[in-house]
Amino acid sequence: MLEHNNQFCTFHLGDLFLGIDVIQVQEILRPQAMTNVPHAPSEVRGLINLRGQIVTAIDLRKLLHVTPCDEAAKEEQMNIVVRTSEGTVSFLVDAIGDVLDIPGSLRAPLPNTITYDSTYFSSVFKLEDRLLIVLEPERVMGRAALAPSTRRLP
Amino acid sequence: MDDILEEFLIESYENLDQVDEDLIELEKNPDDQARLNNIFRTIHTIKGTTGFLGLSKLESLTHVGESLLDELRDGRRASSRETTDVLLALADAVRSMLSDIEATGEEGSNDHDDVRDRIRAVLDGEGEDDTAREEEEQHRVFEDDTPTQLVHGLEEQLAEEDKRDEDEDVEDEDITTSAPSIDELDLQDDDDEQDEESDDDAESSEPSWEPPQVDHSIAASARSAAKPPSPPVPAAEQKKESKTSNRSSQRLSETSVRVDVELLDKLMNLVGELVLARNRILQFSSYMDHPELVGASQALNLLTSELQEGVMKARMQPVGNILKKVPRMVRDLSNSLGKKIEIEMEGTQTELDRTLMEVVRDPLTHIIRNAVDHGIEAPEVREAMHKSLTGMIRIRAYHEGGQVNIEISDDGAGLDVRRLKAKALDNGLYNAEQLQRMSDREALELIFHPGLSTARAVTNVSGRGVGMDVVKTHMEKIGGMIEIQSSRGRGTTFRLKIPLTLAIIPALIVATSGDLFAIPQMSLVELVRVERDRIEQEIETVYGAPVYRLRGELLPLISLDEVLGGDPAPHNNEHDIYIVVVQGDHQQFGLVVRDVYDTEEIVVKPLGKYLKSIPYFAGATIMGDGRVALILDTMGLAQEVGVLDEKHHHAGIEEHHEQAREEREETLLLRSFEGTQYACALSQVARLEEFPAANIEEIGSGYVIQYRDEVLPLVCTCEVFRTGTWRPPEEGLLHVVVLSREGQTIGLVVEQILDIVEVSSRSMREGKRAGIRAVSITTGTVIEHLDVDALFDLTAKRLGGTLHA
Repeated sequence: MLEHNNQFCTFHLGDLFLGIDVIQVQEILRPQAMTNVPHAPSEVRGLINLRGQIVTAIDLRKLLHVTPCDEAAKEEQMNIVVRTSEGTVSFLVDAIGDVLDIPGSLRAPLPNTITYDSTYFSSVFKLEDRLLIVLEPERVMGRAALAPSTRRLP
Repeated sequence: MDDILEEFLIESYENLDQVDEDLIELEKNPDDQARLNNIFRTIHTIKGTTGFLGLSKLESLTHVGESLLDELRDGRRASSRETTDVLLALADAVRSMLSDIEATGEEGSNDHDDVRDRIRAVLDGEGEDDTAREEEEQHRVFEDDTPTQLVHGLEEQLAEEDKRDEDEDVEDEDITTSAPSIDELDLQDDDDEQDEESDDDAESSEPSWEPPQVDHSIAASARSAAKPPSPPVPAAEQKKESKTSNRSSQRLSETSVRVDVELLDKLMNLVGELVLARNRILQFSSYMDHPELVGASQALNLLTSELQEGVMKARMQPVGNILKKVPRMVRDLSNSLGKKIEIEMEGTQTELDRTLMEVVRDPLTHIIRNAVDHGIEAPEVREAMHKSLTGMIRIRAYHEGGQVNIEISDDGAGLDVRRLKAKALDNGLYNAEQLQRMSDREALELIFHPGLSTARAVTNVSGRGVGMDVVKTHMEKIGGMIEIQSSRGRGTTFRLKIPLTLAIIPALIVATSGDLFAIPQMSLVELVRVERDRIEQEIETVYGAPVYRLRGELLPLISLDEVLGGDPAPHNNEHDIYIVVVQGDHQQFGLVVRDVYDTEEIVVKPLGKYLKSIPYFAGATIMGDGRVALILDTMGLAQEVGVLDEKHHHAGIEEHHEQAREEREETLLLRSFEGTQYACALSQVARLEEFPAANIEEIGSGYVIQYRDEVLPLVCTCEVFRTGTWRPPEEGLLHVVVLSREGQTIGLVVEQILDIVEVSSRSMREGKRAGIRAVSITTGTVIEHLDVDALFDLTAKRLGGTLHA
């Protein structure tokens, strides 16, 4: 990522404070009607109709192994629609934060001791009061091909 | 300038494809002046335009080609394999130069000297003799004053000059840049050609020779110059032809427009959206009982349908477009393999959606390559099989039941089911028992199994065992199907069944517990409703597997709910259920659903990468209410659940049925010289003969007898079983069973022909030793049924493989 481009769309997921490069974010949507896809990988919540385009909605809590929220909270989750080289996807998150403009000097590499699955993160920004972890949508999609479907073979 | 270049590239590519086609046709009909003129015109246009665009390498290459074409056109050289070869090479070279230009905007470093040299070599083919004759001709030209010949002579000189003056080409360009825009050039091309000729004619009346750079300027100014006084008949004919075709192409350009494929795709997408919006409005207006809204929405409905149809039509292209390159490919391949193959195409005007066309292109090419490489036998083999030396590949495209079918058939060797099975056994794909149960038709399907190729040798063409499986996946991806028919020795037919269009398809909307799913209508056969109080009686189970009796046949059932991880007991008796009867590969099965709604036109949307690996779904669509519904991939569903895995079981049952039907097989009972009784299927017996022993002749490979002007090789069962050798008796009559297979005949010598009996095929068991097809118990005795194929193979081996490949 280039030094000068440090605008992030931030969001909350449980205790996590995460950001996605604003360039990759297409839009933010309120909770949408979801179509369940049987036998999909567990992190796929379903499909949403985005003005005629069908978009896969990914449960970020599941993907990042954050304790799942209850059903009512699930219904309230917001969509961050992201463009990737593999097409458009929607990430389901608990709450949307501000778009933050962060100087590149605050960037730090990921600590090696990170307890979450770090595959999807690229770096950390040392904000004054807290840390922002940068999520890379491309990496999420890169893993999608490997994601096992939950279908059971008879 | 860029636009001009682009236009030039597009047109040249197209024209070159046509050149390929024309050249191949020309090789067959060397007298086809129209085609020759077409080729000439294309090369001439490219030459002219490249000069204008300053592409000197391409210009000089096409110039040489033009000289050769000119000779062909004037009839001074007959079109031959050699000329076709170099001209095809020329087309390839030009193509590769064009793609260089396309990539970089400039000519590449490769100036294809080899091709030029080859053409020159052909041009100089007869060496000095040729030049001598040309000189002679030139003299005669001046005497006879025949313009065409004269022109040719002059052009030759021109070529010479050109060569010398290549460095001065720049001047040429300076002059030609004042020429009209490229469009005009194209339209006027034939006139140009004509003008040049007349121009040359005009020049020819003057003995003095103008340097070439002036020639162009004259060509330009000489448009209005006098026509030749009385051109000889062939030239006049040519001109007429070129004029008419010119006119028709002009008309075409007036009534048709080039449209960017991307734009078409975008339009299609928009229409898709529109269809969805219409569906919503229609649904909405059915709730609202407002006459004006109903009227408006009905109008919208009609218009949308028409628009959809129109855009779809715009995306249709004749199948011939992807077949254009086939003759050339077949020619090149068959030449390199030393085979003679003719290709016949029918229904090339049949139209297909262009996205589908792209998907079908590779499978089609693959199958044709296979036919050339493995299907059609080498000429020697064909001769031995009494087939015409020239193999035939037929490609037929036609509409049938809302689908486009493309059939590729060859009259080659056909697929060898036994070898397929053996191969499958070797590779451990199936065990012997499964293979034995497999019907021939199923065995043919083995070629779609990855990693199974029956080609004996891996050639650079095919035989690596990758391919047919890819062909099948390609076809299935677009909701198409592929079928094979093959008969040994007579050839193979592949039939590709392709849906008309992909984007918008009619589908049946069904529901399980709550969710909606769309089933493409293409795979639907019928719907059966089972009332709730009848469910228990009508849905039976066979060892746990639910089935339904549909007109006497057992229909295996799959519960959609269960498959998709829902309620495992689909037919709890609270609700009527529906059985959606779906056509699988060979067999129907029933999909049990909770509810069935309307059929609807749905727009197929692809699933994201995350969901591609789920075999149950072919895509998704948006329903009238804006909800997303998944489109079921019925084939994938059936395969995953294993309904079709059971096809071997069912095949077993089918075979039983078949046996039950043709229960009795007529067999000939005979006693061999060893005193053993054998049986032989009467269907394989051509005649029973008696020959005087004295007529038997011995040749190196065994005993033969003259029979109906042919040599009938004689074989004895003892040779098959290696229990001894047979010598003909000195005198007396010899009983011979004449067996035939695929036009070949052999004579089986026997001691006695006993009887013809009917053997129940149910009593037959597979033979345990080589040469025995089956064993049966007939009238209390065990009889071995001879494997006639083994007899033929043995004889063939003895005769050094000439009898049968």
